[in-house]
Amino acid sequence: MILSLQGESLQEQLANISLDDSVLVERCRCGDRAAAERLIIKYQDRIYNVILKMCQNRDDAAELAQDTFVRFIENIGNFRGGSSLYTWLFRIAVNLTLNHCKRRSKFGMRSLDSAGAEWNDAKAQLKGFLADTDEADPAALAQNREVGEIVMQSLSKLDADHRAVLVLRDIEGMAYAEIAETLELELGTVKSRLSRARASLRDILESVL
Amino acid sequence: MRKNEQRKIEELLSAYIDGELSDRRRMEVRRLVENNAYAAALLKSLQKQKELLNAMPTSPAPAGLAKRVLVVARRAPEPRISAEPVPTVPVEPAAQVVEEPAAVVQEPAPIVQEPAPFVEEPAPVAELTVDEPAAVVEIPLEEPVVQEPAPVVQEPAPGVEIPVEEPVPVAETPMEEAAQVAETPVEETAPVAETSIEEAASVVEPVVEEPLPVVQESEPAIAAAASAEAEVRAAVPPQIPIAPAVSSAALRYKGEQQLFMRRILTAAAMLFIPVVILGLVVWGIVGPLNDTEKVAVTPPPAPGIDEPTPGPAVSFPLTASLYLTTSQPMQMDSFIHKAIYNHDLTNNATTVGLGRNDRSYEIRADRERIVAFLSELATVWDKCESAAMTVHGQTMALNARIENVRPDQAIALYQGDVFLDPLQYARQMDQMNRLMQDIGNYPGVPGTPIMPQLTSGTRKTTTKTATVDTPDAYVTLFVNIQSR
Repeated sequence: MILSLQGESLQEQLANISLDDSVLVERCRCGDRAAAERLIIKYQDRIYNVILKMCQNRDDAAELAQDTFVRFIENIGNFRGGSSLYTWLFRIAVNLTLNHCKRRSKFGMRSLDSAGAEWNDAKAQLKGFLADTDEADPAALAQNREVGEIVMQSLSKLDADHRAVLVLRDIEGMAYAEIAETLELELGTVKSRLSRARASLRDILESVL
Repeated sequence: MRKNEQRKIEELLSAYIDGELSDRRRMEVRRLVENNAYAAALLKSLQKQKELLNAMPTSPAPAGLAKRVLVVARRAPEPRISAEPVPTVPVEPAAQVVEEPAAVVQEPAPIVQEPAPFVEEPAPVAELTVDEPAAVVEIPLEEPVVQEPAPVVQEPAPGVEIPVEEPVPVAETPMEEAAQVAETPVEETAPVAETSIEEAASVVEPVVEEPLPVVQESEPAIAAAASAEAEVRAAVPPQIPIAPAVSSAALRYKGEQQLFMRRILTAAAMLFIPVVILGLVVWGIVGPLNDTEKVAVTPPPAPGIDEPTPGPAVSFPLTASLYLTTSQPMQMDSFIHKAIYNHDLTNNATTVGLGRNDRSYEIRADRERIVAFLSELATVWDKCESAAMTVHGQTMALNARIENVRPDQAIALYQGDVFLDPLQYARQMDQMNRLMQDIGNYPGVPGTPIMPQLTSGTRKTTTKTATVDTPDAYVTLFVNIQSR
């Protein structure tokens, strides 16, 4: 650790983020915690968001994101560059989150039915959008807190594996090949799983709305 | 529509909206959507759903995540070197870590082992204490501490002998004992490192007093750790380099480098050895013959003639060219043909030059057959208006030419019983022939073989004697017939 905790401001660190990942990884291996910090800052938002979308809980997501990066630093010596750092990080994050979700699912989930009548407007908006009768801007619609909540809770009703593949594709925007690498699946499996996940989500949303 | 087909269509449409289809498939989907209302509605629905998910707002990661990670990572035990692929996080352990972060802390071993770095390397103690308190964790709990007793025992620092002498209970040492042990080397090592006790304590204390690397560490705790580190950094003189400690990752990297070099060398050896073997084989084929097969004549003292000037010893297969100039080249050629046949040299003779009136043969055979061939050739020697022989040396400059060579001289050369090096012999004969030519006659040189009995140039009717072919013992004779 050279200057990680007090040396540079966030802006200075961000200015150096354009460094190639491999350079930072190499420096990280040599014990340069500043490089590790830069890598974390570079990927923390994306990792956190994916985890949050998968586990639906901010505290859990923060914890899981932290654990992901701790594991990343601890195991940086084992990273051989066979895959990109990006997919490697996401693999750690997704595996941790899937494990967490599978354990938590034993305790049950909050049902959308418990949502009161105050969500009726949001439901109507969402229904119109999905039925293509309402030409609403998806970005504007998604900014609606209730709509976002409905979508997120619908996502949480999905099977964890389906949720992972859907989040990586539709929210994180990964290509099929990257998803396959991250989840260690065959490309065909990713394709079929994604299709089934979308169908399931459509069914869930229809039932909710 | 059957469920299977529906699923197939959904899969196709799903890949279509993701742009993961080939051109041909994409065209198929477009046609399907144009002609199938269900597919069109499904496609629209999928697109809308994707747009919605894609537009979901993102949340920034919690503030200070990177710093918290680094604090936790610094305290967490470093992983052991493992060849297993890391990213595959096992299901259960991962859940344990997330759910029970305190489990990491329940291992007191790293805390007790912490003094070791202080003692093993007295000089850079300050660097280690400042930069790498996590270096303590490099020794995993399961790893026997006894494996590294030597550096600790060799050191005079008394405070550190405790964990060394009692390596086994290290993991079971209660926290109080751990605190004592951890405190002891601070007093011992502080003077060595020229660092105040407070500075050293500020490094040790977080480990002893806060052994629990709580995952959800509060911001004040992080700030306190940062300020403590800043203080220590400020206290360390700038000329003392704060070198990054050699972590297990760095050692692993070095090991990988060594392994890589070893693999390179092995591969080079695997390539080099066959090449050398192949080279030796090729050299054995195209290289010079063995010494036993080469002409190596040690000249005895010449009886009857003056002591010859000893020439350089030759050691190469005897090769000579006989130049016969005749006005009847065709007849001479025909005779040579027959002689080659008579002496079983058909497979050993090659026509190397074919002019209108000139012929050249290369005869490569054992000495006996060459001598027999020359003996037969001697019968028509008189038909030649001139005869000369060049004995080839290793280079053209060393060649020796015998003008007006006589058949007995040529035969003697190939019989190998001349007492001189063939090149020396050729030079002697040349001088002698010139001398005799001036005199007009000469009685013969003592030591030269008796004129062989000439045989007929006609085809022999006797059966040919089977000769054992030993190509290594071959000598070479070029016969050149030149028309006058």
